[in-house]
Amino acid sequence: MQVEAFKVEIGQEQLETLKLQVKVAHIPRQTYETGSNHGQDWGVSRDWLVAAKEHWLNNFDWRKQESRINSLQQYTAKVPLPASATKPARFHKIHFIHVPAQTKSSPTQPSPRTILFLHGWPGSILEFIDIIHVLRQMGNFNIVAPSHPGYLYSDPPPLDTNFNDEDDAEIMLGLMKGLGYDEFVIQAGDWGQTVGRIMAVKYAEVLAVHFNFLPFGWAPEGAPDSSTLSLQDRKGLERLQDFMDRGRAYSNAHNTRPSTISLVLSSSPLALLAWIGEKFLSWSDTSPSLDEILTAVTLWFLTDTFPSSIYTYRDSVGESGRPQDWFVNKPTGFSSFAKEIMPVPKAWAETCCDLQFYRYHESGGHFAAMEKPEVLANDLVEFLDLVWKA
Amino acid sequence: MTSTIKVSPFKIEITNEKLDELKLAVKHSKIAKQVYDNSGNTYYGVTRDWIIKARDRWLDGFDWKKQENRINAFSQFVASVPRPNNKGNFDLHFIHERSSSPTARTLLLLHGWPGSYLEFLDLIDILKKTGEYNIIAPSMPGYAFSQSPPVDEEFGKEDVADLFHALVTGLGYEQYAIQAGDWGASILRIIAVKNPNSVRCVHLNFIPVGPPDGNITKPDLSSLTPVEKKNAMNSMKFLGEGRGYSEMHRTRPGTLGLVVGSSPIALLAWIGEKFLEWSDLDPDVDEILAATTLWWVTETFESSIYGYRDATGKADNPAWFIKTPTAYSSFAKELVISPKIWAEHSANITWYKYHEKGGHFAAMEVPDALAEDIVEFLNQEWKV
Repeated sequence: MQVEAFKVEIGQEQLETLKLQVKVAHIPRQTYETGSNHGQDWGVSRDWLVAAKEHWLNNFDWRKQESRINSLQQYTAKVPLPASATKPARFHKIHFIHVPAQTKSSPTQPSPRTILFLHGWPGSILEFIDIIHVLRQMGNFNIVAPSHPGYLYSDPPPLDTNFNDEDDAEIMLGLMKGLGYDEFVIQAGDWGQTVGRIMAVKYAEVLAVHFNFLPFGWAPEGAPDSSTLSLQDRKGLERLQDFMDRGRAYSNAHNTRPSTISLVLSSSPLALLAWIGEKFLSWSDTSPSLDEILTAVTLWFLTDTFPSSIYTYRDSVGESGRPQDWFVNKPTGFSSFAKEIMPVPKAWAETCCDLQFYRYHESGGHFAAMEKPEVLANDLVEFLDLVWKA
Repeated sequence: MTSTIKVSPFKIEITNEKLDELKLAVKHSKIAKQVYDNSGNTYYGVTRDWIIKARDRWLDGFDWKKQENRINAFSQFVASVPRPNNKGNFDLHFIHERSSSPTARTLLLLHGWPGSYLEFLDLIDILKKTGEYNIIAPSMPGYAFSQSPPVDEEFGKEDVADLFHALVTGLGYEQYAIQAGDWGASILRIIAVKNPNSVRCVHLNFIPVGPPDGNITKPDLSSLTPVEKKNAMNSMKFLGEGRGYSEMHRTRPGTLGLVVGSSPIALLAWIGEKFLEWSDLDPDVDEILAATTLWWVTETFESSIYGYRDATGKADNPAWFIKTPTAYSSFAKELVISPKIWAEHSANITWYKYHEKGGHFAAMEVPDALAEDIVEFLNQEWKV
């Protein structure tokens, strides 16, 4: 597989253009909905957007963030894909972080274990930078964290054919095999979980999976009556119900009118900032810093990622609300964070996989890798020690 | 008949400076890259091609002043209308075309979202010529030149209904009829139910109700005609996949207001999609650009969506059944086309007509047909 080293290097002119676009972007008048005193969860406030715009223009240091991103070696690779009944043999360029294990296996050293991190929406490889640094200290791992097709520097899906999660899964497998990895474990949350689940079911190369997100929309068949659940689990289900009732309009827009929403959000950096900034703030337990959010939005805006980031939403696999439709018959770990957007009880998780590791955490939210890198790393290593003896 | 509220004449006068600012904002806006779903393969919303064409026209060819002159040919005013419960006064912008005939009947026209009083201009022209009506077409609070809802407290459809009733009676009219679609229809419902002695009759082109037994997943279509069955299925489709925008309005109006108001192209995409999708024949691009220009220069998108979180005046709520004589003009390309027998559970329907042509924006799309319906209905229910 043709692999080339890669660095994020945004040109100064591009940064100046972005600054101008931020500067001229219009911030609407104050309304009741964008105020800070209504006590409702109606999205980001005008005050927040005003402060974010000011910070973006005057304090945000892109080059410092760029250095941080480049602290982990990145590549692009033309992943070869074999011909199928409907498609010719072809390539798909994928951008990824690749940190091979420091010690190769030898008669005296245990084999390194390989981890594939799959981000979600509105995620990116940025979420995994901290956890990858932590894992490197903890053990001998080969770590791969790709950008899904359409995100950042990975090529977008084709213009003329529908592209779904199974196509994505195929490319991710091709990447791993192209790098020489015939066995690996997947760690994923959000939509990464969907792709990871498909890979686990379809590919022998996937030994085990670790998830921090299981998107049940409602109780699966075989789940115990909710009155028998612990208080902790019932509180989690209240959060889940609230998300189902009031938290999914963004996904409805992605699902039914992706063209419209792409045109809306590409028009101005502040539009994109409000749309995905809201998720970073409301889906996390401790909010990421403004710099973290602006880094993600800057990169998304400059690579025109949004229009090619939402293809999964029109695929019913992602939105089925029934993970048990793709039962993972391989060792699965589930780290359940209390402030996840769709928390589910262990009993539900057991209906969709061979659950061999479960841990509940009182704090932490949807972006577990970004919010709790040490906690998630500990869970992951403990799970690996259980199912993949080094 | 005298006015008891303070009324000032009004003309739209958007400065060249504001228009230049708009053009500059359009120029700075970025157009999304081409992807599978914005290329027009399947219906996924407004296409990239359309946005580019509309943007180019907006920058070169679209003449706002011409539109402004057309609008200013109508008699516009702003009135200071008292709110009930000593909540103070509220400025409402409206067209008011008064007939010289002493037996003229008063008609209140209510727009919806993403509408405006502009939708009614052709209809008002037609009705004006008969000399038989006093016509009032207000801008909803938060739209065009009407005052916006307060920034520090909740404001809903009942507040709007009370204001409109106070406007019409404040202008000196004791009795009136109302015509509406979209969520103007909800406002109409609230006014008619709360003020049965003032409202003589009402005309609706939108009555979005499901089957009387409430079973939306498996509706009983057995007593419907083939046309009604087909329309019911189309309505289910809209209810299933056409309401993403309204879920955003309902649950994240803060974020959405900031998003759509950040750039004229964002606004054009969000509301332009509805003008194209919800109408039978596509409106002229200049008509869409005129509406979008008005929304942009008045900064009203962010103040236009408060109604979506308010369930007051829902068509399927028996507490809001309209006892006033009601006309139902049903247009084939409406979003939710309830058959007459379903709509009868929502209002006292005494007049009904089905039209093969015409969609959601009936007044804008088929003003002659709508005018004919209104005239016939008023002659039936409000004889002079």
